[in-house]
Amino acid sequence: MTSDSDSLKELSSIFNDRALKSSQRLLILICLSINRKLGFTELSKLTGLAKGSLGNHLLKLTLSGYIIVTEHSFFSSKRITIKITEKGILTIRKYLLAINELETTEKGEITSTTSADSDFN
Amino acid sequence: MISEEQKYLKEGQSLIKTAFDFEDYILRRSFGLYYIGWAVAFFLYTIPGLDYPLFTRYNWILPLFYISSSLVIMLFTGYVFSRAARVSRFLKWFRPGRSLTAFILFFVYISIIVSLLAFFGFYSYFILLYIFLGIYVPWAIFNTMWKSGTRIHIETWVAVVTFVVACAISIAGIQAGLYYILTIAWIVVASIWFVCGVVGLYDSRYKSMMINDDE
Repeated sequence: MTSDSDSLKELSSIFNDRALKSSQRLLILICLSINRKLGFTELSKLTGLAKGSLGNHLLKLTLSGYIIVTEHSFFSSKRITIKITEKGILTIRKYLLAINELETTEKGEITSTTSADSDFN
Repeated sequence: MISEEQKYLKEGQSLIKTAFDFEDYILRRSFGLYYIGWAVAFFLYTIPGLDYPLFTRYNWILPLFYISSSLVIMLFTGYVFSRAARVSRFLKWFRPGRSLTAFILFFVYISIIVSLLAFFGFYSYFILLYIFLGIYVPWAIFNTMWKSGTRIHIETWVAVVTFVVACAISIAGIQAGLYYILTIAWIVVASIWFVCGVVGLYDSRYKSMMINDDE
């Protein structure tokens, strides 16, 4: 119960930032925490979002300091690369650890419920 | 009624699964490039065997083909294994118990093989090389995939089995003195690996589950 409320507090503090109140933005940060940097096309594939919508999400994350977006030329075309910042890595790790904690607690509750049922039988 | 914890947990689990499905898709495509790169390397390695007198006319031709082949292998292997290593490092932190060593071991292996050349003759060197490759390459591929959480697809099985068979044929060919068999075997393997690469690149499927923009 104690770790559950700690995890909830952690998640509440994370979601105090409006920039993180979006599943797409959380997903973008999770993938960036794995790869450190990804291209615009890869993120578009990941989220299934159109160019404009993805651009809006990336703008919000950039303004909150979670990512850095850079543009560079590749022969005759422009390539956009999105890189996660230290702040982004720390925040998303807190999120993932809180989720892990909730998962562990839930598994513990299921196990103790199952044991209680077995004892009863 | 679903509690707040369950709501967060459900969303978090769904996002993590989506992220790993995406990584699986990316790594499958990366391995597709890996098979294509190695197919090119195999061709470069075996082309001199097609007309040995032609390719040994000048001293620099044969080393040029072998060095180019090695460079292509290192380039594509480095790209794929470094990508897989990033996923593996994440998994090591997020789900402790996994670690990736194949990437580092591959470069250690290259150094050892080059050093062995100084101590063993041509004949022994290649027998040892094919035995080592026949064991190490499949292990490295499966180990990398397992530690990065990637599913092992059909093209991987085909690539690995044909590679091991080609190594065995090469050993038999060297022992029998029938070197043309090696050329044929590795050209066949190169063609199969190229097809495996194309399958990996174009058969990879990922459909984003994030249908609604929640902005």
